[in-house]
Amino acid sequence: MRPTTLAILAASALMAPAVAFSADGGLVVSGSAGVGLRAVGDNAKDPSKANEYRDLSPGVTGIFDVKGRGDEYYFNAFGENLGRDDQYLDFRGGKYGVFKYQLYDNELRHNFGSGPGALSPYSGIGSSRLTAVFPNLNTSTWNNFDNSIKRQDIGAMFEISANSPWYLRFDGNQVKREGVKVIAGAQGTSPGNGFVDLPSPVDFKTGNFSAEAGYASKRGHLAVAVLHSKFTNSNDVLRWSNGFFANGLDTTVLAPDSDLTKISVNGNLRQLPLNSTVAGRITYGKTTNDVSVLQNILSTGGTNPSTAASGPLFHGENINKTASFSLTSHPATAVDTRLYWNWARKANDSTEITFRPLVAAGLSGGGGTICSSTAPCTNELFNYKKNNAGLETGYRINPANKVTAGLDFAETDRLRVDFTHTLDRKYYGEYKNNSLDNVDTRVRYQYLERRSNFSGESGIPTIDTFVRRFDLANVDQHLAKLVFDVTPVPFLDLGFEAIYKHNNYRDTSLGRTGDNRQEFYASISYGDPKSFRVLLFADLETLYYDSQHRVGSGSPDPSTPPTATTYNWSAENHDKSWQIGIGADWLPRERLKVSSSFIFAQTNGSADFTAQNPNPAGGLLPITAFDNTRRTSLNLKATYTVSRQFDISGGYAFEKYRFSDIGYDNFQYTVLSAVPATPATLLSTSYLTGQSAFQNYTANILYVMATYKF
Amino acid sequence: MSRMQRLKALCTTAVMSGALLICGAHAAEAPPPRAVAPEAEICKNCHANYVENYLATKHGQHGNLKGPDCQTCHVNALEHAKAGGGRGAGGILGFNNKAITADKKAGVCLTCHEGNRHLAFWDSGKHKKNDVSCNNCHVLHGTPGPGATIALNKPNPSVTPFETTSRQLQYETCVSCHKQIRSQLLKPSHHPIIEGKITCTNCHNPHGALSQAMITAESIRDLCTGCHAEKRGPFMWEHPPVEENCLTCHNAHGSNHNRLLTEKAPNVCQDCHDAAQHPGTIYSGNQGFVPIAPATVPSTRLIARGCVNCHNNMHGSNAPAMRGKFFLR
Repeated sequence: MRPTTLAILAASALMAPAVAFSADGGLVVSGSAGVGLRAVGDNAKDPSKANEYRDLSPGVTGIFDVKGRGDEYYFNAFGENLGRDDQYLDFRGGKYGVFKYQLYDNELRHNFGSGPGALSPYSGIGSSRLTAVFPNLNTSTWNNFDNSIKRQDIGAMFEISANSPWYLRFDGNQVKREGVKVIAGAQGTSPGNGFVDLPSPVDFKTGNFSAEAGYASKRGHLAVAVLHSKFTNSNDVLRWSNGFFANGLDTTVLAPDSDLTKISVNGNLRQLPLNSTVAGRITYGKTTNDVSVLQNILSTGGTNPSTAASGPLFHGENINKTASFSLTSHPATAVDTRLYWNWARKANDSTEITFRPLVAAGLSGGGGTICSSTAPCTNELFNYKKNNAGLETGYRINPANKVTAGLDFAETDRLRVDFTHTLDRKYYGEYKNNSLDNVDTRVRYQYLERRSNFSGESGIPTIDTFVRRFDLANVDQHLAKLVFDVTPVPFLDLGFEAIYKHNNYRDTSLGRTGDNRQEFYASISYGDPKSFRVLLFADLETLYYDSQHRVGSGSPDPSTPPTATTYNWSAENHDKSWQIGIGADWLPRERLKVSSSFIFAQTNGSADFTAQNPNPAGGLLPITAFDNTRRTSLNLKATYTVSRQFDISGGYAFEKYRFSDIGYDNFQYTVLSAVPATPATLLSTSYLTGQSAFQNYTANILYVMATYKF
Repeated sequence: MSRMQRLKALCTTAVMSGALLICGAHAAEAPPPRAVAPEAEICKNCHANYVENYLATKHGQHGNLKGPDCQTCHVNALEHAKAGGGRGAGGILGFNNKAITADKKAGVCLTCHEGNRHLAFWDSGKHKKNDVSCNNCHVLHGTPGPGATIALNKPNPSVTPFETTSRQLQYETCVSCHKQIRSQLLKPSHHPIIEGKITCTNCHNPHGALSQAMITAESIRDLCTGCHAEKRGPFMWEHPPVEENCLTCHNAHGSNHNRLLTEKAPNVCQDCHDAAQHPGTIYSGNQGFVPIAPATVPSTRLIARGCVNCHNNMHGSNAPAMRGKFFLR
């Protein structure tokens, strides 16, 4: 058991006699403690999906929930899943009007794969050095590993306000993540040389500490806060055997350590003329790190040529500044307004490193035209500056009807190779009506127009001259939303919500040309909490993404006629998801409470293709399984109050999950680059661990718990 | 769960249970509940349950000398009784009365709480603008659920897969209005919110904030890298959409696709990247693990993680030369 967890538990355990002592001084203690058993049966080849964020292992479970309330002091102590991977502990308390504190421990294990979902030809898994001898197509010689990351977040808070309205607050926490995460490495010097899954060690620690001093009163608020966050990774690099390069040790550079320091000042002032409140915030944040630049790296023939870097050290330094302002007013009884402005600037003061490796070193691309001694490459320092301003106005026609309108402008200047400037203009209008006692309606329409300056046209056109990346490309967006809630009779609520959103990337010839989203949500709920409550809901969501592309080494201009090898093609991606759910709480007898829940959820994804070339190299069949899933979940639970001191609860849960995807159906651990294979093509074999390939499961869960209350 | 872990669970449970049994044995007899103010005694005649519930809450309990009485929030108890009771009678302020504006209801709470630190930006927030009042989320007459210190409004039964937590989770209050979010949280790829490991307030401030969507940081990227600090950088080779907005590629609440991607790879990458060869190539239904002519082998850009099979460090890289520029190492 970790020392910190032990400390929290010890503190909680020691509170017992302390509480007992202070009980005589008026601290009233109440609560409960429970011990339970859980039995789980599943038929999963790889149970990691069922246990993705839950510890479903059978065995003992424990829970406690204690509250103490006194004349001056109070505390709450809660813990569940004691000793398990998803343990949760929370201990908080204070002295009314003087101080408060909190200690917590929140743990989970993120499971990615196990059994057939965690196989690797590498040895040394868990370390930063993975070795293997390739080719190795015999999976019976491969190694199983624990493909998961354990996350533990331990923190504390202390706030003192004895001298109110002045206060002082301290927050600190440490997040540790340990385990293995599968990344991947490209082999060779060409995209056709395959890849290998790499079980990479995760040993991260993020320590955060903040201090805030402020003045908080009804008239206004002012606070100054300092945050320091330190991220450390115990492994700077991952060394791994690369079969394409004669089983030499290749290097992947892992997430770098970093330090973030941020200062913020925020405040507001109320009770201004026109019933106004002004609020503002400014922040300054600096993130830095230092990373050694690899001077050599594995390459062709198992050699380690020089990367010809212009310097040995990369000093990373990003400075983020923001400023925000908001003025809300009620200039007239029925009118409210909000005027706001936001500004942000990212300055990248990192080191520029230039690489000039020899073409023969195999570290460049494009036949030596990218990152070589004849065509050096330097890292681009991405900077941006954003300005955003807007005005919202609401007019209450009468108590039952309100209209709101708003406009928003966002302008961004960026140091980027394609778009250097974007201007977003957004306009919206909304109407709310609750004229009937039991009906609420809200309708909203929003229009967004983005216009961008494209700077990619220079010299001889390349395909990048014609590509418009959708996050910054010119777009016309329409968004409509309808919300409808009605209560026809007491305790019966009907709700409906519909959302329609359409993006037209009007000037894009290559890239995403449009996307469309339609969502519908309906629910019916009925019940009196004292006896019976039920909720039924149904959701439907469909998404379409349309895109245009061009392939081939001929003219990059999509308007030129196609050839057998250079042509345009288009894709339409379609995602659909729908689910129905029903839940009920019932008190059939005074001492018996029954809860039940059933969900059926399905997702379907597909992609259709058209091309100017009717017979492209890889084919044109549509994809009909793009993350297709079906999930059935049933939960039944009953709690019986045996006496004032004892409850017994028990339940049964059933889950069935099915997954189908073209990227995992008929899964193979090794993928040849050519058939029939030759000794040369075997070097380009790809090796996979099986993660995400065996997600199907059916699980039955039985549990019982006895709870003592005091 | 290994044998050692089972033993750990058993020992932990035993220690805590023992401690709590001591608590229970020594807990003082509860002193008599605080009486309400004389003016509010009249409320007990018709609303005894509410009064009793209230006195058990943080506002009303014994010893909390600052705690408000019935009339502090509801006003005019005597007039209400004289008028014969009923909704709105005698000017009583009922928080379920739709005829009373959200601003007026919130104003009651703000009379005492306006100076609270976490309400500093209530006026700037979307909830106030959208006529959400305190009682929409908070229940003054309710009992906090297991593991909670504040009673939150949970109007509906829980509808979730089996979860190992017994706490009343915060998100169930939020999704009673935010139906779109409820739907996303139940998708195959999601943050562990329904599992109780992350709360809505880890990312959003429902009491108001100056940032878009009332997030608790100045920008989306600052918010995400608060937990995902390994993506904070700085990196030698940056991927601009990563630096600017994680939501370009991800949906933080839930997605059909792995890793919370908004669109399936390789298509999400191809929407921005095109080239003479790959990534300009079509990766179609012919190229899965069972290739169909004219494909003869599976495509390594379609199976498994798609483009990320090779371009693994697409959030940023410190590798040299082309290895780093194209996020290969």
